[in-house]
Amino acid sequence: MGELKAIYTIWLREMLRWRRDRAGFLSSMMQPLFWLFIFGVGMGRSVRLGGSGVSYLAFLAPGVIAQNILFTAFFGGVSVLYDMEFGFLKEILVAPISRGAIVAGKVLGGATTAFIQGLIVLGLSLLIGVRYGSPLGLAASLGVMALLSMAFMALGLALASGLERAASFQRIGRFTTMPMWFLSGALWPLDQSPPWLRMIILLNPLTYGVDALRTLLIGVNKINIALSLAVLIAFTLLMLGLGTYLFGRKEA
Amino acid sequence: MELAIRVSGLTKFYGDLLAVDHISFEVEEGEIFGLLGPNGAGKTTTIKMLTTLLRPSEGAAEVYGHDIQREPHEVRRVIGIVFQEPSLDLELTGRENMEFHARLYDVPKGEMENRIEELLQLVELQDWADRLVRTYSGGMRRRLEIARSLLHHPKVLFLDEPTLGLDPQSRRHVWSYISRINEEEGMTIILTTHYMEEADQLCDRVAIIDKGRIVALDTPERLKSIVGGDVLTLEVGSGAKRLVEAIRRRGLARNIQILRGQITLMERDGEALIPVLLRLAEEVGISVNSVSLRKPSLDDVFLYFTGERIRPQGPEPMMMWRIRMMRGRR
Repeated sequence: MGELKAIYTIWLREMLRWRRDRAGFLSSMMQPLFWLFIFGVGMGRSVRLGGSGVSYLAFLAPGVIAQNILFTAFFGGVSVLYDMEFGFLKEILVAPISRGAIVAGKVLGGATTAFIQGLIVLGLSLLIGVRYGSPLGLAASLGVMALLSMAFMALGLALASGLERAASFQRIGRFTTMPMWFLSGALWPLDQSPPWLRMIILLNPLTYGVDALRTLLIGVNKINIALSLAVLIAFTLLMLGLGTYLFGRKEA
Repeated sequence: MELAIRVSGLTKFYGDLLAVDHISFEVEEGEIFGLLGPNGAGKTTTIKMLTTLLRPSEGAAEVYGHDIQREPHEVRRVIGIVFQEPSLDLELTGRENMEFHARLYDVPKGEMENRIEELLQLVELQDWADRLVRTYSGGMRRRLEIARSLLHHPKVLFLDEPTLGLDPQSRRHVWSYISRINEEEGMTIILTTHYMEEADQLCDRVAIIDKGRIVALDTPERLKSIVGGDVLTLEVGSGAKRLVEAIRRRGLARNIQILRGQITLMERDGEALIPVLLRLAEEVGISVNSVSLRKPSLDDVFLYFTGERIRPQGPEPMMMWRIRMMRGRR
């Protein structure tokens, strides 16, 4: 009971902060708007995907949803470092709650934010005419979005726990998230890459998230959905473990 | 009386640097106990170890019978702390900061609102409760932190430099809250400070810390009586060393310190000593610019034990500033 209340408390604080941070929200919505409205619409005119018969925009949209989740969740991890720099982390660490509860609250907080932003991108893609298949697929895709949100928030938290300053996190974060996004099979079909590139793409956990979303939303896939889900669940658990371990070693 | 805190041989190394050097002391329930010393003496490190935020390198400590290393969870439940550095969420309101704390410490929902209201009134922040902490002044933030630390009725309250950076009025405010809490709730209070007036006025007992070690520990009254009845300070233009040697040769005073051209003597009957000293100075050809006589302060106690002052005094603000900068870097 006490632990659940602690998790809720930490989650609630993240929500309060997020609700007040309008500027942060708007700027994080700029990227998906750009990819969908400018890149997706523009490229869509000149790119024809072989075989499947789906438009480029429909092909791209699940990737942009995953991308927005990746960025929002991953950079959510930096909040640990801001808490440290502003001294608030001491208030949390000295409380009679377990480190596991702190990690859980933080991850759920960041993941909720990322999930909601993912939903908004999903809504935006509907607005510009992307049509998704079954309601069942749509419902299942929410589960994938939730997994992605938690996995990358936990990854961000793990990285933040190993660092001392928010500025270094931002620097390393840019070098991590950009390649992850470009090498996720979100922008072009996986099987139209040379073998060496395909190897790299298949090592990227985001690839499985993008492919799972695409399977569930528009019925196009390159990877078996069961494999994608297994990879995503394993990756999420691994990141949660790593985040908990690294955060547990932190001293205020 | 129950023992609130027992510290034995507590030690902390930062790499090669020895920050806290085998300190031991006990604090009884209901006491206001002060750790007094200059910046970098090891006060904050001691507090961080006692509040489970830092692991000791050696030694042990208990808070109400709970070992700080083996039972950190139990320790955290019974302590409250006001950190030296700010520890509020500036993007939340005062009330939200309080609610966050109350929930983390599992204060029952029915009591939470009332307690928050009461404490906000105690620190006179009720009108500001629903504004973002970002808009508060330094003194208001400190007061909110004090109110917050009391929310869960801790048995021991740690205050690390609670009045650092506050203006004199806010400082007096804080002092009165601390005394009131101690009297009304019987709460044990451990505070660190480098303001000797603060330690003198508030504390039942004071441990004087220098370079990680406790050099003296007693009630402020008794500490001051160790120094002797009076403190005599002589300002001389030059030749301070020569004059001190002459005083020593005559056996006029046992405890003499020179610090930046200022000679401090601690003796029982200071008044009678003034003419003797002036005559002696004339004999050895040294001109005395000024003589002052006063009752000893805890700063004099510190000088007595360490040969240094906690805060450099004297007419040279530039000098003071430089010394503080040096200490800050240590």
